[in-house]
Amino acid sequence: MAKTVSLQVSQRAGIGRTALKAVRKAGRVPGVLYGKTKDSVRSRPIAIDAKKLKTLLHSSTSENVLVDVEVTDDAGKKVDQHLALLLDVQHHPIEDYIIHIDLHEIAQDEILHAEVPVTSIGEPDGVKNGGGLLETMLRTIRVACLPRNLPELITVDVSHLRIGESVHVNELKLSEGVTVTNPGELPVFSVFAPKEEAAVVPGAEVKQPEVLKEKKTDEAAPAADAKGGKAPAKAEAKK
Amino acid sequence: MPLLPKRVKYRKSQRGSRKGTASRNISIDFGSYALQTLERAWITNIQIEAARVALTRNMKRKGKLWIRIFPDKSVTSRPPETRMGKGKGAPEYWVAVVKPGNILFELDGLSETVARESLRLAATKLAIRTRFITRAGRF
Repeated sequence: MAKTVSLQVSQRAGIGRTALKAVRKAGRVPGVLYGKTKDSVRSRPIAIDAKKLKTLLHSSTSENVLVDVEVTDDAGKKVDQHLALLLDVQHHPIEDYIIHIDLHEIAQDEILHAEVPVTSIGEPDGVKNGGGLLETMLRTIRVACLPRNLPELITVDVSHLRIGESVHVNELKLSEGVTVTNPGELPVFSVFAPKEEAAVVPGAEVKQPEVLKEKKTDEAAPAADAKGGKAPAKAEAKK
Repeated sequence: MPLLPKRVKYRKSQRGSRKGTASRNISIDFGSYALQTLERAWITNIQIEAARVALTRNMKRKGKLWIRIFPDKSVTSRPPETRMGKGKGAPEYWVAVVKPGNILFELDGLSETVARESLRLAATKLAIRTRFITRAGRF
């Protein structure tokens, strides 16, 4: 079961690129808190200490974390508290620091929908003895459950799989109160026979791509003729 | 056989812009390990093919490879000792435009050691700085 982690966030006044740049420069990560509960919070801009957030994500198995969010104002005074799911974490493509996070407010007694990562344990029989390849078809499984039942990770034993066999969604063993919303016939892990690489024929001619909008040669040809026709006339005149 | 489009709308293309960092094709979507570019460049289909051969040789028919870039841009050149004018040159080769942050290759079904070595060998075939990233811990 996923454990709840407490996180202190502060309200953020500024929105827009310039304000967000200032927030990031101050060592904080901009984010947003939204939800649909009884005492619902509207979409609210927030900011979190970057170091605390990094520690939180490092200590968790996946980025789907249940967070007990304590919202404070600028003076550090507690405003309100919400239970939320860390729904999205955006990273910078090169520097890899966190650019933005989404916190989705949830209710303790309401069923939530989340994506839980799946991992395999054991080496499949088809890989060990048959030289096959284990392919991960689904990396996350969509589940519906109460927040307290939300699994952190789903582990699947694949050691019995031979070449051509798969573990499907309906074969997954989940704890009570957790239902999978993916179609049951979808394969999660499959073992395939290794593919033979197509032999490359040396000196084979490279086929040029087909052009859909070829330049009209009919118009170009008469124009060229006209130019060509004038030139000899000039040459004759010089003589 | 180097990668090549099957059909194109126009044979010749303009140079286009390579400004900024990548905004698409920036996360590992298929495999567990990947090679990410840190520079902007035009990667030719010959370079992609050389990298693919280097990868598959080191992988020894194990694991699975995804090539995340495709050379869909034609580059033209003029024949040597030609006077200026007379229109744009003929298409010579095909390139993929990459920006910092783009994922080039992805691997799965291998140990991290083999994947790291395979992608290092592939990176030597490309004329840009790259880095090895993993799905689990990014770097």
